[in-house]
Amino acid sequence: MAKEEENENEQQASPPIWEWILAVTGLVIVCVAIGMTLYRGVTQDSSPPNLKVIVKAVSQKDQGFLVEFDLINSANRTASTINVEGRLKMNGEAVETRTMTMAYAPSNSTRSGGLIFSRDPRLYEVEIGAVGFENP
Amino acid sequence: MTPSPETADRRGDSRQFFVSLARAFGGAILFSFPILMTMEMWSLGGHMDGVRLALFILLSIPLLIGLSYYDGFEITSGLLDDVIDSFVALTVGFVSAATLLFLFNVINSSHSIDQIVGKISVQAIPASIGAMLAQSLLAIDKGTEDTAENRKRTANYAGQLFLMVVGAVFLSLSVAPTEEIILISFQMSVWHTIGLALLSLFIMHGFIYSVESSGHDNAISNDSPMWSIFLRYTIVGYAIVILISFYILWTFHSLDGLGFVEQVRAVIVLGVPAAIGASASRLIL
Repeated sequence: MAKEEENENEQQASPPIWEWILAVTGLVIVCVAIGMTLYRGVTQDSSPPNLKVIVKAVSQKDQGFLVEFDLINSANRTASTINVEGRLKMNGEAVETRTMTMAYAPSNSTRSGGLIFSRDPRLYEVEIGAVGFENP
Repeated sequence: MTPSPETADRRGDSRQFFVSLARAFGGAILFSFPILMTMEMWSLGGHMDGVRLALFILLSIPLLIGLSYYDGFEITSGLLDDVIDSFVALTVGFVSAATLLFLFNVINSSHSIDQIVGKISVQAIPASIGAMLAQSLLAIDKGTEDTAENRKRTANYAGQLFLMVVGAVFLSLSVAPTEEIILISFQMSVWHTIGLALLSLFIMHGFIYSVESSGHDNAISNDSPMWSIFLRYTIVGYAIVILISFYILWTFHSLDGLGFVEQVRAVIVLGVPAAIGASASRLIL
């Protein structure tokens, strides 16, 4: 019991400087976090996701030709389960179509993925775009 | 105790503080690991409503201050000390959440700053609670443990209810964001729901009564009749559980778009872990 009191007395002394530094750091972090999230909450516009696909690179792999792309969502709302469709076209006629699903396209962020074609996309006109999504 | 020079005293204090700090990091990671590795939590941080998230962060501050008094990672003296410790816990929570999310590559440069702050914040709050609970999760220091135990034992009625709130938050937070809570509620009929609510009450009463009869808890008078304990603790406790469960599901957008009955069902499903946490808080915290 006496030991406990002693312990308590030791703690009565003003907290070490490190404790103050960390506490103030915490206060700043919390204020920034609250400020930013609150700002996001107040200014959140409810316009739907704005999706765009940009082709990054084409390369030959064991099972065909890989087209790497970026999926950019420039709106403030997140989209999920995005269906991405890619077509190889010749003279406006689609000769090969590939689809895949992206799990998430967070707001104002970029996600990347790839589509695999059996024909060389470099010989055709490549058209890749998001065809649909779900609200998370 | 012989008076020591101030410098030596300070060094001793600092050393003790860093030991507590290491323990706080341990608690933060131990408590938040399940949700740091839950996919739903990652996407939630990115798309959840900013006002709800800000409120979630804000409400964690009084919770941490109260927790610091009963169960902090070091012995505190006075309100200021509890406030300081709460913000230290928040720093620990934010740093550990940010570090792990970065190493999991959940946050990287392809995300907007807005997304990153959201993703870290939503995980940092449970981590901060873990940091604060470090003392009971990783009981090492006998002195801190005894003081905390003593404070909890002598807590008044309001204090007991506060510990119930913490217990409910503690157990429900790690399952609340999962898809399963809503899925279970969809699978249940009205009768399943009523059965689950009754079972929750039964479990709560069992825990509260066993804590009481083991003499673990002085605030519940030993000669109070069963019905009195049931009304004052179990029923009030379950009301707290329902409120906490509703609040957490609302914060995580799990109730959005559900009909009233479906919302009640989901609240009762999450109420099971919350009820266990609330009633066993004196045992687990």
